[in-house]
Amino acid sequence: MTDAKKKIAKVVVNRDLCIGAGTCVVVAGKTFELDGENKAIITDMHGDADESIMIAAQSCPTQAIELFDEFGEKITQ
Amino acid sequence: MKSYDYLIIGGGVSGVTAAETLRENDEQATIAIVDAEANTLYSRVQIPHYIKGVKERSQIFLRSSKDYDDKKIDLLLKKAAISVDTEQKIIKTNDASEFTYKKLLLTTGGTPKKLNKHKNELYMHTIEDADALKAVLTAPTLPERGIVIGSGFIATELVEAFKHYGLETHLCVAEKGFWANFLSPEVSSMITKLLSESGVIVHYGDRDLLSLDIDSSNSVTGVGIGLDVSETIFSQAGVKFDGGLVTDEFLKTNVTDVFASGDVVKFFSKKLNRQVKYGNWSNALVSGRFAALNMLGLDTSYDQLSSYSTSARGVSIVFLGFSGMDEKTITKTKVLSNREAIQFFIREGKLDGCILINRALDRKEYSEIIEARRDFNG
Repeated sequence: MTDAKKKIAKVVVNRDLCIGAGTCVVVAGKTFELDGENKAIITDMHGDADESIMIAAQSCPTQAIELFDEFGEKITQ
Repeated sequence: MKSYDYLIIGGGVSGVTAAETLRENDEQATIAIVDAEANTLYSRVQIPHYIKGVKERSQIFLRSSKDYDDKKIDLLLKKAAISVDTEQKIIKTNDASEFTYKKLLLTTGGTPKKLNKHKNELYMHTIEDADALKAVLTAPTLPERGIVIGSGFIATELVEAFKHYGLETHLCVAEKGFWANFLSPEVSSMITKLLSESGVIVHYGDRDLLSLDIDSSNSVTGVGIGLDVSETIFSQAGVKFDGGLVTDEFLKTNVTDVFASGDVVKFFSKKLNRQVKYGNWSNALVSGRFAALNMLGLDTSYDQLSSYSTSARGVSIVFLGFSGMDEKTITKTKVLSNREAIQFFIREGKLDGCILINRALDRKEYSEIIEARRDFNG
């Protein structure tokens, strides 16, 4: 089961895994952006609704996005 | 004969996203995915990572059987749809199974075009293709040369894989230049030069191809010449096909209760005022979600600006918007340095798409210009 209802406190992108597919930008464009190296970066941790950020993480083809709750626990996607 | 409220042909990311979206919004519906392959969802995008050993095989799988069971989605594997009767709402599969549906989603993706010219041609489409490639590239005796035929995304990934394993890597392109069909000669030459500088031996045209002894025992041949979208059974069923399954902005085909999503769909973009077709992960996933919303009756227009990128030997190439040609489209090129360029696709005074070579940072600026439909002349 996913932890879809948990509040997202922190979003982390693993740059080694990111290939710049850009799905996160499509799904949650106020939270993610691609930088000059074509890697996803966080522009605003709460730029989009938690649901959109969760979908962005689930949509990443390389599973490069990790989400954490307010207790620092990793949120299962 | 089993009956489903929602039947999805194709178990890739678009089909699985659609099924999950349907379930999120309808707890009681019966939902099935019919797929010709034998696997649960995996990330085709990560196949190169698996071949290069960056990821284990198991790590590129995105769903387990349990995930489908938990959501009460019937995953019917190793079943290829062979006919669709849109009057009776029945599909038949190659193992003589039959299913009825209330609403149908076609999201079969494409199949690699086969060259069938050389012995041991290897492809990079399914995970089984990846297994075969990896077996050759990790064998005790490695071939000396890797020959890549083609020039699309897959061809560039094959180049990366062969270089990763230290093979003398040749890239053989049938056209007269790299992506010569839609890149200007200057941009095409720039990419060729950058590839050559990184140690790839580039050949253009059939004459060059013939000069290579491709079938010699010390070579491995990878083929990436594009995807075929199978139209046959769907056009026989009356679904309009024009290089892709034609839909409106709601991903509805011309046939009642039949929808399409993913690589196979050629949908109407309201923003660009034309039918467009994209072949990338984001489009597959997001169009799957929108198709499901529309199957549920929540008329939701799909008009996602496409963005996809690849890297060929350190050259970053970003495709933004729609970079297809027609009689109304003109291209313009902006060369910014000896390794940076942008090619624009302009239609009736508006920017429809562009290709950014080593200029990924410009993505935002041009996305906004495309989205806003501002006048643009390059």
